[in-house]
Amino acid sequence: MPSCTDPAPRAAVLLAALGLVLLLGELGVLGLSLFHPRVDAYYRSYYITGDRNCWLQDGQAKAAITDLLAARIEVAALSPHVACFLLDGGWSDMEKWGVWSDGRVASLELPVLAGSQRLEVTLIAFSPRDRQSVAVFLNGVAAGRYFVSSRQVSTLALAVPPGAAGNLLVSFRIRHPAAPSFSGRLTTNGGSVSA
Amino acid sequence: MWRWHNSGRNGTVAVPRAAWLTESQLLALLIAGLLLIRLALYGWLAGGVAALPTALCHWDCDWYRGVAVDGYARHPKTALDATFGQASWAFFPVYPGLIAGTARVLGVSALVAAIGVANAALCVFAFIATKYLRLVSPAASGPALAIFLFAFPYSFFLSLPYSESVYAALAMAAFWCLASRRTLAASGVAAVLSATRVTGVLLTPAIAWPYLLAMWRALRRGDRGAAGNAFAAALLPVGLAPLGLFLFMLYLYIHTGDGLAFLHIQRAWNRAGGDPIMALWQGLTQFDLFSFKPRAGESQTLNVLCAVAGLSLSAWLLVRRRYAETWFLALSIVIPASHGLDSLARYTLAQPLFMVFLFDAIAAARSRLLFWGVIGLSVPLQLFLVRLWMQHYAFLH
Repeated sequence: MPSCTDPAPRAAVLLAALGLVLLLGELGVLGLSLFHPRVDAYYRSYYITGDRNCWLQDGQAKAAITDLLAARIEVAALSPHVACFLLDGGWSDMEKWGVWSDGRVASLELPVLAGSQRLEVTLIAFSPRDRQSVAVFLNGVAAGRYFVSSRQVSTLALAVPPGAAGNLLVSFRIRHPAAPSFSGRLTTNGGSVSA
Repeated sequence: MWRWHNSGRNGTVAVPRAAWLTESQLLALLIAGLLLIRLALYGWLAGGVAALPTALCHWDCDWYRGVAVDGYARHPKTALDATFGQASWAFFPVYPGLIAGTARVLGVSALVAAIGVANAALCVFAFIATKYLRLVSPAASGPALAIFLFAFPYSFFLSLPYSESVYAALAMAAFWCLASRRTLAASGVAAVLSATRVTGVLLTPAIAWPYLLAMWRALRRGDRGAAGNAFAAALLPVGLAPLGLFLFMLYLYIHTGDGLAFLHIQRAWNRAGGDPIMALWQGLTQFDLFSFKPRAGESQTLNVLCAVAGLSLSAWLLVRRRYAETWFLALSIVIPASHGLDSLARYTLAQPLFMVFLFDAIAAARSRLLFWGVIGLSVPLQLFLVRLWMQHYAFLH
């Protein structure tokens, strides 16, 4: 019967121990990667969680937002990456004139200066009926429900919540999302509100 | 001094054999000759051998070359162009590492080194494939397989500055070791393979399988000691096989802060994880086989048809009880399909097991006419595809 001092069993034990060390080390690397990535919020929201449709490097994002402060922001006039950065979620692909919402809720993340009181949003709604019902939320708080004429440029005047500075989340909740198409029928692409 | 040596299944291929050369040496000479013919033909298509490296370097080639020259970036690209948000982390380190080493040792450019490494690996792959097939299909002809591998239309990817040939050589070596019951050697090769492409890690379950089977059988007969021994014996091979991937993950974690950056960065190419069956079905029902623009993009239907061919071959391997090969081939198709159908034709048709067992299926027909008919059709088709590749036809990408 082999004893634990025999070379063959000892080698087998050493090899098994080496294998165990490797497996534990690999589990450690996997755990670090899954549960403790050392990345900024922008990277996380685009690459890891998929909450955003685009990514800007931390410095780039801050510079882009600073440039936009207190200015009139026209989504179609921005570079695609900056525009995409402002379109927080619920939007279709960018087009030359702007972008359609996609689904029931679409959100914009807009930079605002401290002390800002008024926000104007210009949009085009689409509905197979005459009007589209849109509820607007600012930083998650209801700011009103609007009935926006279909296929016409409309402007919504909104009161910026007191104390809002930095990024303001503007969400549109569309009651009956419908998609325009060139043939006049509904399709699954596009949406009901354009920015 | 020359005599004819018939090693083919039903005489598929007969090659002259010199008495002073071993079969392996003769095979190596045949493979070297096939490579020279291939490179000469590619050089002719490129308008000269000197123009060949540039003519072959498109798309992912620049990423591999970039990693070989500059290493991995710490952040995704921030220039506001088509590469915005992309990074080289999706390209595993073994192939660019070999390029960098070869360029430094030989004093050649990274591009020349990339093509040199790829074609050297192609020769290694062809050589080991013949050894492997002889083990799993004893009647198979080594020379015929080598000729088939060089003639197969999509095998031109193994001469490009892509990681395909290094991956093929390592995968074949791992399966050869498995087939000859050298499990620890297979694990060592698998460790390198897992740092060549992410699907290399699929070998780990294939390596673990015999141990699990032994444990299960021991437990069924109530022999806990034998089950424990099988468990202990499995630890090193199973721990070693994915080591390359985990070392790369550790490097990425230290370098970028995200150990899974190779996976997460796929988002910048619009590749998101999803249901592979649904993706395959949607691709199949696009019916764009005759309407797609090959210069501008890929045919989703063609990609799916290639995947279906690969999965069918996997099913044939399952019938033949080649479980490890079935697993590896099928998952090498299904996993990329779960992230989108782009490049699925390449992932399937340039897969080493696909090419080897496609040959085996053709050879099983025992028809010399069929074999040479396939070769006769494959060679011009491959040259046609290479010409399209040189002209940037995006459907090949």
